[in-house]
Amino acid sequence: MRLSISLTLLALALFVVSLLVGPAELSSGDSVAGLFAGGGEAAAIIMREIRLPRAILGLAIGISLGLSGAVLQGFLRNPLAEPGVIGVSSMAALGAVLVFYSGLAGSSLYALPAGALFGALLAVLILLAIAARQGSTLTLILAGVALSSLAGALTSLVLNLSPNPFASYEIIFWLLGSLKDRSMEFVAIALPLMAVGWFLISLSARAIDALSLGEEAASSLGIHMGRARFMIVAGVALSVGAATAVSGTIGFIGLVVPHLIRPLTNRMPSSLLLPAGLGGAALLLAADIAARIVLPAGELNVGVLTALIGAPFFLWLVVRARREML
Amino acid sequence: MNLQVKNLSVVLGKRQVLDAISFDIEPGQVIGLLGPNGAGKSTLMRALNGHIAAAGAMQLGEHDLAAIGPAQRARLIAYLPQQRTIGWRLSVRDLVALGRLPWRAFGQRPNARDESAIARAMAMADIAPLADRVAKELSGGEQARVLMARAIVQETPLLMADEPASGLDAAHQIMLMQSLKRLAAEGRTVLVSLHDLTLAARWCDQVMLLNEGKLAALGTPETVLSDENLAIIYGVTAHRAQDDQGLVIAPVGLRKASTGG
Amino acid sequence: MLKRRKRLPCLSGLVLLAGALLVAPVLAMPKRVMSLNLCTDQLAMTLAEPGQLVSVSFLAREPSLSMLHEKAQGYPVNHGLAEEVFLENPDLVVTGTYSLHNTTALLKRLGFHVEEFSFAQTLETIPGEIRRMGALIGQEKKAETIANDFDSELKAIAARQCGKHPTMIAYDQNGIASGRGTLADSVMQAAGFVNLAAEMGIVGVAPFPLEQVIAAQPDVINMSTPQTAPTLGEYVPRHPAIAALPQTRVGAFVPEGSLSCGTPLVIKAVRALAALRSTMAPCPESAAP
Repeated sequence: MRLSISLTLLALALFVVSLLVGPAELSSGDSVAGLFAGGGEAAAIIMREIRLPRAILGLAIGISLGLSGAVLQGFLRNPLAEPGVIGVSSMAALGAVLVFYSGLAGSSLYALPAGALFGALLAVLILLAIAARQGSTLTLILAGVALSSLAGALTSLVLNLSPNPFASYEIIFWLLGSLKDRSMEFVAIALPLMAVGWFLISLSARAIDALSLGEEAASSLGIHMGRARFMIVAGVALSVGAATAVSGTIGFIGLVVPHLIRPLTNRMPSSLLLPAGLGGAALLLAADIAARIVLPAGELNVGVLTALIGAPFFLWLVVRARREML
Repeated sequence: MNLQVKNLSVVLGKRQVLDAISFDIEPGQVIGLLGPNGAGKSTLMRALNGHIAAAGAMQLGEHDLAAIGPAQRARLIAYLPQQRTIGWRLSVRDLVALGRLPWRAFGQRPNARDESAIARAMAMADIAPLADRVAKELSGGEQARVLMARAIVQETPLLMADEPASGLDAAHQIMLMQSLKRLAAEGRTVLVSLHDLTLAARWCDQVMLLNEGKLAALGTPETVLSDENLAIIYGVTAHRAQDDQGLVIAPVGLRKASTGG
Repeated sequence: MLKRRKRLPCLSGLVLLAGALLVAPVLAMPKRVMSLNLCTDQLAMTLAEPGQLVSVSFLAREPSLSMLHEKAQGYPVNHGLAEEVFLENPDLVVTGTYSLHNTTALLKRLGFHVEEFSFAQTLETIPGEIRRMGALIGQEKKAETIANDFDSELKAIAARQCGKHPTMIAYDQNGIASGRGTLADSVMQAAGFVNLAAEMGIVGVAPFPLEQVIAAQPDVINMSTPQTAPTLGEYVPRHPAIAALPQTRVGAFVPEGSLSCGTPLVIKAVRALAALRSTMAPCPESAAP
């Protein structure tokens, strides 16, 4: 509990910092006034229409990724499971790209989460079919590598085939996500879906605890495996799908955060859920703040930063996992 | 609660793994489930616990085991699978506490009742001194005891354990059987598969002998573990003796092929 | 295969001279001209006589980029591949300096006559480019007329301006603004606007943070015409923050595709912005022409 409170405070502090950082260089006084005072002043517009949605998305997407990583690791008893590594994010991006850029839904923003949810769902189902029963770390990771390479290639292909010549410039966004210039419209389409996903994931807390002892033992402890599988699949698809629909693929948050936090818990998979969500929010907000300030001119894609942190971490985990296997 | 099974059959792929098994067991006994490798011991337990589809009727007391959901089943049957899986670096105590899940509502913390059950189960499995150790880092035998405690703590009318004695040292094998006896004395049914005929003969109230998916015999160890049954089904000869506490059976040699038929 | 490895610098006059000395009859009036670049497409389609231009780039048919996209339907298209050029075997290939660098080098090695046009352009360079294209394809007279008309209309538009100069930012897909040295910048200036992006130090076409656009509160934000095929980048200039600016006119004020290339058609963009300016900062009666 103390852990969750500290992480909440950390995430909130970073949320505030996120509101204070931006190229317009508003003073903190102007920022606060802009956020709460009325009127059409530039400061108010910048705070409410640009920085607030960005900070909200950083918080919510961070929670989604941290939570999904924690629940997938618990469910698959696999410390390397993570929406980005196992290809769920890439498939979500592919789904969003397919539906949105084809213009099937006009240029409606709702095309993004619709496609992304479908992509994420498909990915989770494929991975479960391939890897859940066997439970081998290696099988899951290899399947994920194949899935994300395929999804990445198809994403590039779809964007290159778009009749709009500017679409191909957006390949980088979908492969290495960003929170730049997302408006409240994006918050509106993604946040409710993510919240439903969080709720479903939280319902699976007992199941992932019981699954520490394997599927048969879990089932004999009263876990309805079909129901648990549904809640986790739907919860991860909703939260990662909605997150990816508005931010592109942001990898490794769900890998790094549960690992840093697990030693601070009793290591029961359910007791990791809330701290992992909060920690994910803190890490993504911090990365997004860094993405805005590390380069004096312009900004980095936050997905680049999380990959820079996460990929070496992943390698280290692989080496360690080989030594002690889970 | 009586455990009643009628014409239980299981087909896996094209193989008939269980063939029309029927029995009726009174509560308060330790039932040893015996039979050579591949006889269907694990399959019988898994079918009773709903892990594999089976034809026929299974009844525990007034409950039709085929009709109840996992939550209700978990309050009736505790099951220790043969496969000993321990994920994560859980402490022994936390792991044993998982056995109380069926009795706790969602989000509820363990209450005093849970705590006393946990303490009792850990004492029965002789793992109280290991409470704060990381379960994954224990020896195989210690892990087996921890997982047994997890099943005991469920406090169900029927306890099924698939080879709980394997990997245990002699003292702990005896402690395990004593604990099972005590649980049976509380009115529970304990169904335990064993490979050790000595252990089965000594501690089980009844033994159920499976052979190639069929129920070969069910009864007291004296009657079921006859020289003939051991020869035909296990293909061994055994030395047998009787002391003041019961039967001693020790397999001593392979049955010679010429004596058959 | 004749190998003319001309290693002349980009001084087009010298290139022309050398070319003329070597293969004078071809240059006098190339019968078969091939254009590999969107912007040379525009010039070539404006100046070439029927049958002279054998193909244009596929982008010439793209409405968002090409003012002459309808006319381009009448020409075969190429994708800027050396193989296409080789099969077509034109007398003259016109292309951009930067766009297909490897192709250009290869074609030159294969002995084709390749002319490159630089597109770091402003309004001032356009008449020169018109005349150069005219000379290359033997349509000097037509080019001269078009270039002169272009110059004189620019002067006329400049003469009609008075009073204050409203501020403008040309803001595009993915938050890209046109800064100093761009065609859009010179068009804004010619139409009597101050390009805030250039004032704030943006050079060329570069990312411009949305927050700074809002902070600058320009009088006009010009964006490109929305496409039928959607992109996420299009949502940046359509961001609610821009719509929330109370005093700013936001819209696509220039004809679609008119700012993508320095061609005589850019005059349409200047006209459109000049018209917008005259409604925003009308000249007093006395000063009106």
